[in-house]
Amino acid sequence: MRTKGFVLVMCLLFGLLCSALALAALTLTELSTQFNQAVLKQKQQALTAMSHQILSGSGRDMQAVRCPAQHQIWPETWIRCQIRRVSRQDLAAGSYGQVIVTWQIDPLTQGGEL
Amino acid sequence: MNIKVITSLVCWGLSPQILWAESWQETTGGTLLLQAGSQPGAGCAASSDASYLSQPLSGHMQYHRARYSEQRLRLTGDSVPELQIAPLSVPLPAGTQSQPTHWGVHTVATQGQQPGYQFHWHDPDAEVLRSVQFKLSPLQWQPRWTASYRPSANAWLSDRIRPQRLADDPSAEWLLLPGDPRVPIRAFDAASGLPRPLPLAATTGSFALLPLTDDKNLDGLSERLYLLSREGVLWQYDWLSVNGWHRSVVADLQSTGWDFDGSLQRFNGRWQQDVGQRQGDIFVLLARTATDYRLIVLRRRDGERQTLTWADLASAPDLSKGGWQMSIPSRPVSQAKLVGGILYLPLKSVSNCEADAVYDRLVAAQLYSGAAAYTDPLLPLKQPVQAPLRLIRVNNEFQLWSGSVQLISQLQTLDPACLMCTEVLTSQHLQGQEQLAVFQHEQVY
Repeated sequence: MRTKGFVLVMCLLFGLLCSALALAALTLTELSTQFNQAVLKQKQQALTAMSHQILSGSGRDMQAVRCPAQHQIWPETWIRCQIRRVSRQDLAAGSYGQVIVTWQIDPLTQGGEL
Repeated sequence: MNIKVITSLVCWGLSPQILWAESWQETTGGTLLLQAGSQPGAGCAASSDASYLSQPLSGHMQYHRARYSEQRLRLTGDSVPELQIAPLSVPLPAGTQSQPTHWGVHTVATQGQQPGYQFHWHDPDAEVLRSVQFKLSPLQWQPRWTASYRPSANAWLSDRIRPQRLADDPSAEWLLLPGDPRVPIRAFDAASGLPRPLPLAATTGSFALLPLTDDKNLDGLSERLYLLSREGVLWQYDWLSVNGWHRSVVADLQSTGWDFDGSLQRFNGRWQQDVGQRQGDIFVLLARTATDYRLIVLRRRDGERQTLTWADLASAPDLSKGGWQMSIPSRPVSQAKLVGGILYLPLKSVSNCEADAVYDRLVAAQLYSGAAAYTDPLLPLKQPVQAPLRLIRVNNEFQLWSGSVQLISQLQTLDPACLMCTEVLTSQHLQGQEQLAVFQHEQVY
């Protein structure tokens, strides 16, 4: 009788332990999800703000980017650099997107004078 | 009729190609007084043709170039007489030439359709820095301010004065000029001319070249300044919001004994060194010795703190050291020009006029290594020319011209695929892209 009672208590304890572990895992998962969503939202908000300004042509400060260092250096007045979004899908969670900097050199600026 | 008038009329009739300049003299009241017609090009360097002594003037239909020389602002166009404006100054003794000086003309926003211009210049003879706002057609001249200014040394190449915004006082635009050991950089309010003592530590040496500015975070304010002393010390000043301007030394070339009073330029570059790529600042310096002139290129990696010295400079094409230098036989007529990573430097030709900008040779070297970009790093030209270098596109390639003279028929560019290699410059080199960030599917664990 005492043995049965002991087994029952052990089973209850084991069940309790399993429940605790499951609850902890679920809590961690939930926290992780919320954390990731928050980070993703933050990234998206920043990107959205930037992309809206880029697409609408406003927000001059946001568009002006330092041209990346290059092997081939050009006159400062010839080269223009812009941040661009490659895909509009990047604002949806679960899809791919990227931000690139593009440069365009106009060798005929001021008649091509160096 | 006066015989002189008749003679001049006859001469004018015989040589109709001579255009008389429209000449104005500034009065003590700040207005302009029309002078009797004078011929452009009175001095040997006063030619109205385009050259590196002048700068392009944007926004006006008739006048395309501006130049300040021999105490006169000269505006030239294709089919109009040269417009000369002589601001008040100390008259020079006969036979003497005014020394090269720093100046700049900038377009400013004004009411109406005609563009307005702001003209800043240092008058070394009167020892002042002046600012004037002017308009063309109809001509309007508005003196704004005059400030007392005398640098501790003079440069032999003039540089363009530009209003700048600084991180330590964003409220105004500043003109930065070389100072003296006690005040290394002089700052003048571009609107009022009021000087502001920049809190920079005192140093040694003398200064002739305009300080360079760098806006690292692209907020429109310069957080970094560079200043090169005539003795060869390149100082860097970083703005720290807590500690103010922090000074460090980029390079110390005092041991060379050269005069660093030609020019200082900075570029942001990426180069290959040993294994891997390096990125950082490239400084191009022009100096002179007792017998020749020197072109010095310094490479400084981002984050590097070590001071570059003479031992870090290679004399031959080299990518392992901190830079390279080469002797150039005559005075450069402009700062170095960069196209596709190739450095071009026009060199003064031997002529009767020391002050003109006629050149007959070109330095054409790879920026990072100093290796020859063509057959030889020093290219002789077929004939002396003075028009600025210009790129002409022919089919898919590019040529280098000066005025109507072709100088190089097929331009080269750096080939990053190998060390010190070049390839033909084509339209494909004129655009590119680099990935900044990728946003991928967010994994939730």
